Amino acid sequence: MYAYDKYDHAIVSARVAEFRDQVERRLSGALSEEEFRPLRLMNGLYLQLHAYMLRVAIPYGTLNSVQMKRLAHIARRYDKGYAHFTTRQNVQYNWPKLVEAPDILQELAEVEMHAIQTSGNCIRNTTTDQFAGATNEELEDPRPYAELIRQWSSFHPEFAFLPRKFKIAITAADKDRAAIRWHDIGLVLKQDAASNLGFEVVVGGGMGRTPVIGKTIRDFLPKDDLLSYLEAILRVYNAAGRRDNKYKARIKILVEETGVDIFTKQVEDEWTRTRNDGIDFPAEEEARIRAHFTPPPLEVLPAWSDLETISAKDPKFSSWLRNNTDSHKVSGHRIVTISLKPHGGIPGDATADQMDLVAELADSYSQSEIRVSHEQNLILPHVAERDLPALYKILNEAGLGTPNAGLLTDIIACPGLDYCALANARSIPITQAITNRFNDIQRLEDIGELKIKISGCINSCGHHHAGHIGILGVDRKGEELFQIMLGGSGDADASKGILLGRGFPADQIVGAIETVVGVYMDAREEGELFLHAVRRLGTQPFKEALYGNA
Amino acid sequence: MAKKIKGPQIILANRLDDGRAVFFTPKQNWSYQASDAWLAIDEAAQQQAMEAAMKSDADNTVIGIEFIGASDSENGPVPTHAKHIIQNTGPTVRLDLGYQAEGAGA
Amino acid sequence: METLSLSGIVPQRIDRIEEGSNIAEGQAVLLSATDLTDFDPAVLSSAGSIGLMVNGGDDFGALPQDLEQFSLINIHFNAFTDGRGFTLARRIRRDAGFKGELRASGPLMPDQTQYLARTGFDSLVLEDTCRKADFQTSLTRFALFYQSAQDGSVPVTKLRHPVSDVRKVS
Repeated sequence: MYAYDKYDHAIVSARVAEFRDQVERRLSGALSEEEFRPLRLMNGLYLQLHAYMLRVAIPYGTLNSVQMKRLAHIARRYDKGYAHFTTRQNVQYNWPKLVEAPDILQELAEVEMHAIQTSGNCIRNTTTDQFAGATNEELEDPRPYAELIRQWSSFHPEFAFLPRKFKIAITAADKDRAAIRWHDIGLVLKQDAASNLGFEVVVGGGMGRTPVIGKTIRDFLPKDDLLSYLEAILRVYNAAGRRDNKYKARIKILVEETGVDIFTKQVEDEWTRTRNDGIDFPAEEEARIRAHFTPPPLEVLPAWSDLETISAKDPKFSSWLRNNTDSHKVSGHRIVTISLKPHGGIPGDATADQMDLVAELADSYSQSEIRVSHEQNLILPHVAERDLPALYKILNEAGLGTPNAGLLTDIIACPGLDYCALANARSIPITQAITNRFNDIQRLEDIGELKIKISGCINSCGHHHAGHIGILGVDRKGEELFQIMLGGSGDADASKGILLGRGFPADQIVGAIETVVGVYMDAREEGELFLHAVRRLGTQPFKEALYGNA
Repeated sequence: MAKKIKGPQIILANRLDDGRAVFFTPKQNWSYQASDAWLAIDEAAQQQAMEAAMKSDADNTVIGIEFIGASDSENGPVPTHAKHIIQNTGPTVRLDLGYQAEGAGA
Repeated sequence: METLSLSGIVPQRIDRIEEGSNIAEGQAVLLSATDLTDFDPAVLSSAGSIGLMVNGGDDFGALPQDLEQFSLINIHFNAFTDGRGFTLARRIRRDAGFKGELRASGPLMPDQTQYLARTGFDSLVLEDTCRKADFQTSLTRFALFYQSAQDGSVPVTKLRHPVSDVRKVS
């Protein structure tokens, strides 16, 4: 994985010093709260209901065991012994003090981490496939491109005060695990007829109040032109994006209002003018970065024959093996997903002890490497098959062995009204109620792949628009109600969920989910996934079951 | 300041240095507990309370001063809205955290 | 009011002329595009030099032709959160090739001076001079940069690869 050189260290250290100075000026009154707010946000520091919240970037979802141990240390030393992994490959602390935030950033900088641009109206942490570099499904490891974008976008002088936040995601696999069509810019690595690498460029996706699936503005951008093309898009957006209404300020609205053809022409014109300005990093730099992502020296092993025997004797292990491990590009290895969705638990939360344990397991079993997924789970990307039983045993004893990856209880949820000042309703208790009800693994496996995504307000941090079942919490005269939508997807075939009807009170939502699942179970064809059944059936049968014919 | 609300109100803010939710009291200081808050019933009282709160902020210790709806109880004022009740107690999914765990709060 | 130098140049002395006021012979005056069309060309030609006042949100394509006729262009920011002025500056420098003094004004905050310098600004009108030291400190906050920019600073990619076979001009 990427390692800082002296320049990266110097830049990140300068940022820590800058923020320390800004905090001191805020405390002395030299900076007003109005001025300080965007500055602290660009360092990941929010103000929430109970305290500040610090969002730390895990660039493109990759971290090593030393970094994970430092995250655990920060949770103990500066917070309340836990941290929350988010839907954008970040990690959040819920109780830091403003006065200690610079110290936390310093501790992060020591292990080559930061909170730069994890909030604010600027270019955010670039996200990617959590299986990058381990899956056999990709053309090439996309993380070097994400690192190029990280460097280009860090403190970009022109784009620090954009109309609104700006999120970029990149995938190199056909199966899109990064939900790239839901981002301001989505990039898909491709090959042209002559086997040159390049990107399909998708612009204007986003959730929030107005969910929009991104549109392709270029089928193939040569990979060497990536940064100059991104810069052209950002320049058009920064100059013309709306600033009169924050709900219309994302690039998706600019693309819709301008028209995708005219918008594309503006970008192409800008790029034609500036593509030779030296914006793109030299080829040597891409090579230097890529060298950091050389695949780990895994021994090519034959498929481990004992695996099936052990699995046949232990149904729990068997479920975990089926659901929480994926094929690796090196024979005899698997990619392991550690579920942070224990039934009845808080999605994405991990205690400092659990984080330390995962770091130790990464050292023992996964080349010291860990990934974070946008689905709020942790991944050990390089595990030998023969190590799986021992690994599972340790994970299970630590409450990290729930075999539910990709199943109904692998729920994405925002922190909701329990923490967030923007929320209208509580997402976590709804998640807990659902996972407590659907806690039988056999039943979950029978239901199959079903992604539930829950947001506590229209800002959609819980990605409800992209859920096979999406749940949106609303506040109606002081009562929390939960609306259900069906048919959303964050995958390559991205789609927006369709709202079924009026919301349900908290104590009826589990029953409503049961009803929806029941309709699917009755109507599904052989091997038909929930999402495909919804697409075939439409929402009508579900509406009838929930609300009657009236 | 947030949009105008009706009925009895108390004043909520976050402390600048650690972000914790605090309530403005009739003693003209800030308390962790809504039950200590200055319950301003009518507009005249609300204006008086807000002026005092703003003045107390001259030393740059709190941010986001706002009125929130509240009602009176035997033990003092209680916030009306779920969000502010949670601010006065802590996350409902982590009873070991926040004021509820420290013996303060509702 | 004081004008802070961002690029090392000595800021010009120039007077903002409001509608209806007079231009003295030889006076350096700052005018908006509308003022330019309103004033008698003969009066304008008697001015010592003319600067152009624009808003950060103005459309680059709608600016007057031949920007080199102006001794200075002043981009006004309506708010420190409105970053359009950074892009406009970049375009005035890069696309129009403007070589004169590029000045920023408006309610900007100290922590933005280096961004201004890097997008091509030479100077900044300080609305509150009591924080002058903070504005100056932030001007040299970062010594290393990932991007190439209008201030001519050397990006770290060049430091990493001094003799790189640059496939594109920079």
